[in-house]
Amino acid sequence: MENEFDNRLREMMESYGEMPEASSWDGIASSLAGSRRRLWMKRSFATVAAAAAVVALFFIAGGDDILIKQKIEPQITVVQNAQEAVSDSSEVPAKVVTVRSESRALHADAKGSMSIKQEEVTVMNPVAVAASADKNPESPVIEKKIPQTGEKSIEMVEFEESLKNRLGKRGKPVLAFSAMLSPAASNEDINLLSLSNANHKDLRSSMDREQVSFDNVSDTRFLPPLTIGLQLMLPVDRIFSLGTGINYSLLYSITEEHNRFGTDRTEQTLHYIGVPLFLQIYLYKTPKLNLYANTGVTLEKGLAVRFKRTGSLPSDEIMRVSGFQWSIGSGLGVEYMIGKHTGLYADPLLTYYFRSNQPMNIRTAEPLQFRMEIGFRYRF
Amino acid sequence: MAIQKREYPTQQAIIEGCIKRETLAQRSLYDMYAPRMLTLCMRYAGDRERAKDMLHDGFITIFNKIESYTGTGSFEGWMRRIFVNTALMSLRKADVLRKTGELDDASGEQSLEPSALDKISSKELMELIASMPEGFRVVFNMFAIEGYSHQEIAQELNISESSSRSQLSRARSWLQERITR
Repeated sequence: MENEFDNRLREMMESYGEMPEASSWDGIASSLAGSRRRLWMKRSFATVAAAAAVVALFFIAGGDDILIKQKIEPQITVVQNAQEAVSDSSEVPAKVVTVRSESRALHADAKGSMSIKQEEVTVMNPVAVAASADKNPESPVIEKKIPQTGEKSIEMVEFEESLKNRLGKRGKPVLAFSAMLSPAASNEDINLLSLSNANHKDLRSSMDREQVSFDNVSDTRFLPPLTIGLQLMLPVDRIFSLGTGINYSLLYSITEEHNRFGTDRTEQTLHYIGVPLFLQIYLYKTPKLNLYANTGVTLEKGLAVRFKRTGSLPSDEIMRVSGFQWSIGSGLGVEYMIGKHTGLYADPLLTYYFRSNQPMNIRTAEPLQFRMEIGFRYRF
Repeated sequence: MAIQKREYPTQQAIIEGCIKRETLAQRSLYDMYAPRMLTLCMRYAGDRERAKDMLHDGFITIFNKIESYTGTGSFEGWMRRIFVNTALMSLRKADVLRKTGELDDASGEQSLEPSALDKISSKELMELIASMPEGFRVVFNMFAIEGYSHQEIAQELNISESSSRSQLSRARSWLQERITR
């Protein structure tokens, strides 16, 4: 009897639905958007932190010496019999000896090509030049230098040369042509916003259907934004490069509004032109492959927005866009050299678009975006 | 709507959309279940305002944890379980469940005629349950409607099984009295 009562009670309660207020969904949607934003921020922070950690480790470990090596290996033959040299030194006055050194390290200039460099280092021979030089004139022999006051050791000379090479020699400018997509939106259209009271009658129980009144549903879909650009990069040194350029972005969205009178469709096309300024940091260089991190800021100006409406009130209008769109971004990149001067590259980037009263677009709906820049670079 | 039919023709498609964090799918799921879940929350909360908060928190949990639905058992059952937990958590915060433990005075089992329920509508029954004294409202909901055992109720509410039984008994007599009045 009790079970029957409970079963009946359960049936009545499970089939009954109390309609929530319209604002109830708005609260949930806004909490979800907030948590989504927080998640993105966390992920982007983690990415940036990881990239920063990699760069920091790279420098702490003396990465530029390890990876972009400027290695000087002077060909010095150490005197076999030091005693003999010392004894002979009394007869030989101190003199200047020119030592030819050859470095076969990778000279990673802006072209990424390897070259062999010959250096001439002049050192003072304070003690003696081995008398054995007379015995074997073909191979000039010096004793490993003992530094004295006011003189420089070979290590010091090497270090200075290395520093000079690192700081003093710039690579050549790089011209890049790029195209950029947001892969997050490329697989299928994003349904970012659904406004008003949705009315999914087909998915409801019969009891719910009676309680739901017909209302509007609007659905906005954003297509992946497309950006093409031309960039010029000027190497500051072997590791850092500064870049700028000009780019054009096309943003497209479709809004469909279903109401009791039919469907209204609005196509919005936005055109932006922008100027990026970025810093590129090379992490790893080989003649064929370069890995780097980059970070920068972009200022974009909306040129025009076109609204093309079909449905109950068809229209087609073009309006000016006021204000600027600022964004910051950073990421890692890889470049593969397909020729002596040309490299193909792919840069996954995280970009944050600041809110700045721009027309609704994918950047205002989702300010933090993952983007993939691909293109080729030409080195002069 | 045509757009909904095209994108989420089945509940499975809605769930998959929610896993991908698609807003339209989330909205579809909300529209499907919000009325029934709000009723559940109102039965536990006793008032609509607190029930709305429970509904909000419950759906946020659902959307954040939807990947953990394995597909075994009904999806609605899984959702109900989450909403009951959300409601209990909310009541625990408001110190309402303490009153459940205080009522430890057992009384005799009540026999209720199922036909008694024919006299009232679902809405009236819901309001009646929502107006039950806090002390035994939760136990009655969990046992009679959600189908929890006394052992499970005792664990969830941190009370003894005998307390759970006595509170259920009180709830039944309270309800019988109101229905037959």
